Amino acid sequence: MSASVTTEAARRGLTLAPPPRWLIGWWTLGRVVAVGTALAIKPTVWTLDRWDGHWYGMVARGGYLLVPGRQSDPAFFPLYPILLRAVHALGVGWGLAGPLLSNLALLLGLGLFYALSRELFSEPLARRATTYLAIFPLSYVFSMSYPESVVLVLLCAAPLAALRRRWWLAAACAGAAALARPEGLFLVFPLAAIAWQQRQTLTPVRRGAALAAVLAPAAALVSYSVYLDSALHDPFAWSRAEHAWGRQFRISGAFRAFEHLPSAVSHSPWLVRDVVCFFGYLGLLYAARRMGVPRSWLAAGAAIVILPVFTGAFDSIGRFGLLAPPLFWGLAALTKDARTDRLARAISLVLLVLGTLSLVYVFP
Amino acid sequence: MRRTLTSVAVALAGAAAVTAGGWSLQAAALPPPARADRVAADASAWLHDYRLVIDVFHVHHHRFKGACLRGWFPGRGGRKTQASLLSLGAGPIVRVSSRWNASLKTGDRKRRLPVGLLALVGCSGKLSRVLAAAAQSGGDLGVERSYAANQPAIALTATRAHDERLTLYVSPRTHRPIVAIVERDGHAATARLYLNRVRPRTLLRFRFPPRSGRGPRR
Repeated sequence: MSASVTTEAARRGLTLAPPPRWLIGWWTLGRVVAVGTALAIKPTVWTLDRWDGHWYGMVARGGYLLVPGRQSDPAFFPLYPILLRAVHALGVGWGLAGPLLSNLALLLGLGLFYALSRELFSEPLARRATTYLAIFPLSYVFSMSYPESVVLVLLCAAPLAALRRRWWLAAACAGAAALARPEGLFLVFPLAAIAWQQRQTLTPVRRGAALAAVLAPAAALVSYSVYLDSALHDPFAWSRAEHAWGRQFRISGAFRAFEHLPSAVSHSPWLVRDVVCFFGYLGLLYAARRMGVPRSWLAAGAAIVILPVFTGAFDSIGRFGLLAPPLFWGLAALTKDARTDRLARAISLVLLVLGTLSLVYVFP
Repeated sequence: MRRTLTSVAVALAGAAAVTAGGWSLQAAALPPPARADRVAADASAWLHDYRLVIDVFHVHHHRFKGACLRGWFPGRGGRKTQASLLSLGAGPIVRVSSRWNASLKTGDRKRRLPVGLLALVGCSGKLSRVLAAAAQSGGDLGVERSYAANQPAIALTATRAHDERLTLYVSPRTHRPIVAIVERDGHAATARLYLNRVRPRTLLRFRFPPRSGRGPRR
């Protein structure tokens, strides 16, 4: 990052321009396609409020409860249920609260992603990357009672605030991101890199704030454990619940994931979707590296895509990738000419319809 | 040096503030679990931990011993599936699958024996599943202080579909199940529950096949 860009960013503070019309247009198109397809399946919020959405709703309504040895809700992080409660308190029904919150958060998230991308790269690339994110084949998740939209907001807001030297805000956003999804933890990489770049120009207090922002995701995870200890008398309830959901991080997990892949696919053919996404995401990370995406962002993206395989399964990797910005920068780098760009958008929209239809059969 | 120490102190204070703020937000915004739900979850965990339950059943004014073993047992096609074997004293051994199907393994079925009710009160698999579902659904659960099997207990009551009423007495401290009672359609079954580890001697005593119930190799 050049010094002039840094100074310019600092001068602007955190003032965000209202989202441009084209961005609102692609957000609208993506949501019309996703929500419209979901309503075509069943004319209620059922399609958008199911799978994990059911569990987030349970936490929002009744708090956490660990049932050892069984799938239970401490596996689902607390920020999204807290926001669901807030939306419900405004008079919105439980079923509608999730999709409403997620769709609106996506608009904000796209705006922040565009601003972040523009800070790091050229405007045309930022525009293409934002468009792809809005209509990505798995972006129907952004319309569901899932926390991905909210996490997108925080994942983009934290480094953007850091780039603009608002380190306390960056710390708050990074902490909140980790309270919404474990992927928030990987903000450590870009935040640490930005803090390192600014180290010479920060006062000791500001430098401390920058370090606090780097520590914030881990601190937020500690707060979740402390809360689980106070509510359920088990600080590791999250880990136990994850285990019951079949997710347990092991070094040999990646080997097991590949070893069991044929039997897993024969048991659930939908897994092919996530395997294809995994290898596609690796390709996009490579494209991002070739176009010069900072290493810290590549590390965050690689952690989001690759680490889940170490739990011994490929399930949901397609969805996890939605929270890896380098994938969309890599995709935008591959579609520089207008024809490829148009083709990518058309394919995305078709796959978005098919992806939304798959919700009847399989969780994202 | 002083500047570095200042930065580290500010960073640690910031991280502590994030932890405290995160905890406060969760504690203020999320409701704590209801006591009945916690009792049900704990009792479900106890039952999940023990595959073998030795029961003393009371049904139709009769008292008899039995045992229920949870595990993997051959089904109709000979393929092993998750199920429970319910040994009813000197009487029959019944295979109870997770879909509530009961099939006779050995012996003659005693007349008018409500096998479904006995499996619900006497098998750890069934009871654990029912309790976990009731706790997680925020269903109609209630707790009150009580007395069971000559000891103080907590009575956990759950009303289920078709006017089925389940009462589970658990120990007040650990919530270990002691007695289960189920009432349905004018029938009632009671089981004093003794949670046991699987030992060859116990399997033999209740006429379960030796080394039975082990899962398929993965």
